[in-house]
Amino acid sequence: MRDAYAGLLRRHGLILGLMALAIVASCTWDFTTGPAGLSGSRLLELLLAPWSSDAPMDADRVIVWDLRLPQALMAVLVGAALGLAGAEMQTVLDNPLASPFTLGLSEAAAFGAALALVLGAASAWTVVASAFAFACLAALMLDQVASRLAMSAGSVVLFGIALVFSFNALLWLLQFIASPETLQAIVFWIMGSLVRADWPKLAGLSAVLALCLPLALADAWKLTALRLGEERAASLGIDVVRLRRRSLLRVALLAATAVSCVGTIGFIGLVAPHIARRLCGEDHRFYLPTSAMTGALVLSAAALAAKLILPGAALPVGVVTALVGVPVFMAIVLRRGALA
Amino acid sequence: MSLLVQSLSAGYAGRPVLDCISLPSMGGGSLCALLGPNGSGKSTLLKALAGLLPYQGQIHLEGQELKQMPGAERLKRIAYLPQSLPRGVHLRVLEAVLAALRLGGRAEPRDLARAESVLQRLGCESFALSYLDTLSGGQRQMVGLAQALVREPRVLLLDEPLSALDLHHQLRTMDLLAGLAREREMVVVIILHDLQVALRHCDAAVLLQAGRVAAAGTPAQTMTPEHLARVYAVQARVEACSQGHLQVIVDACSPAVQR
Repeated sequence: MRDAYAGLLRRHGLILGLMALAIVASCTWDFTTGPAGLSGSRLLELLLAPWSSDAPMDADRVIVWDLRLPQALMAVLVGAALGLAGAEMQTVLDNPLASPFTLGLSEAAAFGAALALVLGAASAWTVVASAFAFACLAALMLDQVASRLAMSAGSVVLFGIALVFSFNALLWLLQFIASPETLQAIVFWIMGSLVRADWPKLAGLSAVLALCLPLALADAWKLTALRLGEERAASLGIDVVRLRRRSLLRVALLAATAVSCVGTIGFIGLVAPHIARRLCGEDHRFYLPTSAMTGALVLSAAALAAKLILPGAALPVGVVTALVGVPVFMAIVLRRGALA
Repeated sequence: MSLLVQSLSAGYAGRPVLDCISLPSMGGGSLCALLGPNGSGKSTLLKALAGLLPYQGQIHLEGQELKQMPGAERLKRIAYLPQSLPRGVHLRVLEAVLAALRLGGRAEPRDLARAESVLQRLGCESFALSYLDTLSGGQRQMVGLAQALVREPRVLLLDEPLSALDLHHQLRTMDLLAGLAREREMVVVIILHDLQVALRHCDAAVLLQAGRVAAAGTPAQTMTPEHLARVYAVQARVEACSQGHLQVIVDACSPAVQR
């Protein structure tokens, strides 16, 4: 039994290694693809020696360092953040249909961004800050409700759905009163696009991931035990309410940062955990990193697909992930229905 | 090891369930059956004993009050198996048992050996690397038992551990529990609905009714026709079979219930 188990652990390690390779490959392909038609050697030259180019080459440098590279990396980081957040959320809410957006975090962020736009925000950063603040506000409300009332997983989901509807209604109200130009800006923001990627946002999201992933892995055994049922976890000495609270805070931070960086990109947080579960089961020592890496791979591949489907059109990646995500979501729902 | 319950009241927010109950002292190596109709407070009593519910009164474990025992100490001594089975969990059996054993840090080789030994003892080794969501209800119940046993507790609290098991596995599990209780000087408190199993395998029995103790003592003292009529509203006989084992034979529902 022990030898077979050791073999399984090696297999999980191999899966993680292969996914890392696939992410590097997808990110590289994404980086080398674009309407500017830069050759591989030129890209490598600009990448290795960004400051050596002379004046006429500046446009190429901007393409590589300000557009291609941040966008390709942002796809990986946002995907990882949403994949990790989705996995944690499905575990602590004991609901395979949960995702970071089930609890109204993305709707709150979208409302925050729209509010800043309607109020005539001076800079893009004000919009980002407002989106982040409202996502955190939603998370805070959820956290207070979940911890003070010691609510069950089902009640937290219900409260989250209430938040979704509330923030959606407020968003529609803003869209109703917004000027045509502002309305366009709101719609573009909500759609979710990697075009807004830049280095400060990358640094912020990296920091959040670097904080949340180790903390989540430190709770891995407890989260695994929680999958066996709240009562059983409590009997093993796990403070379920506090574990859920910690986990929701991580989810909120990850989702709020990701959404405020690139807008709402749906279905990564829903689909990545399902793929990860099929690949390595729900031992959270493997499940959490696999879900993060799956999210990274899926979003990076979606970003690449967006470029390949309509070259030069900068199709928002949120559209691609939703178009892929909807059939997957429906398959999950139908399969659950069949099982019931 | 001894477990003593005195003047215990417990319940849920705004809904008291157990009303000042006291139980005979339970000693190490014994199996005590908790019996009673639905809603009589069996699971509530088990949860209070597991330290999962606030309570008034006394629960003494080896002379020490449960409330005053440090959390880690309590967890080391008491293992509780809830009634509900996890559903739709894509987790391997061995990982589930390891998770019960190891809640922080890396799994050590010793943990793996313990998990393996418990799974073998319960006859679960053939599906140790299967996913829980591919197992039958009975197999999942055995895995739950493995999770409770792997912690080598002094007090084992089991909420209907036989409900999904076939006859063979019910008998095997009860024999195993009796053997383990004696071997490890462990107190086993077990909620049962099958009175025959309680009569045949348990050393003591407590019959609960509406949050109070209706009868307690040896299984034969507890399961008398009078007690069964009062608590379960059935007309029953308790008679020895051809091999001398006591058996409960239920003839009919009491007229009061039929009306």
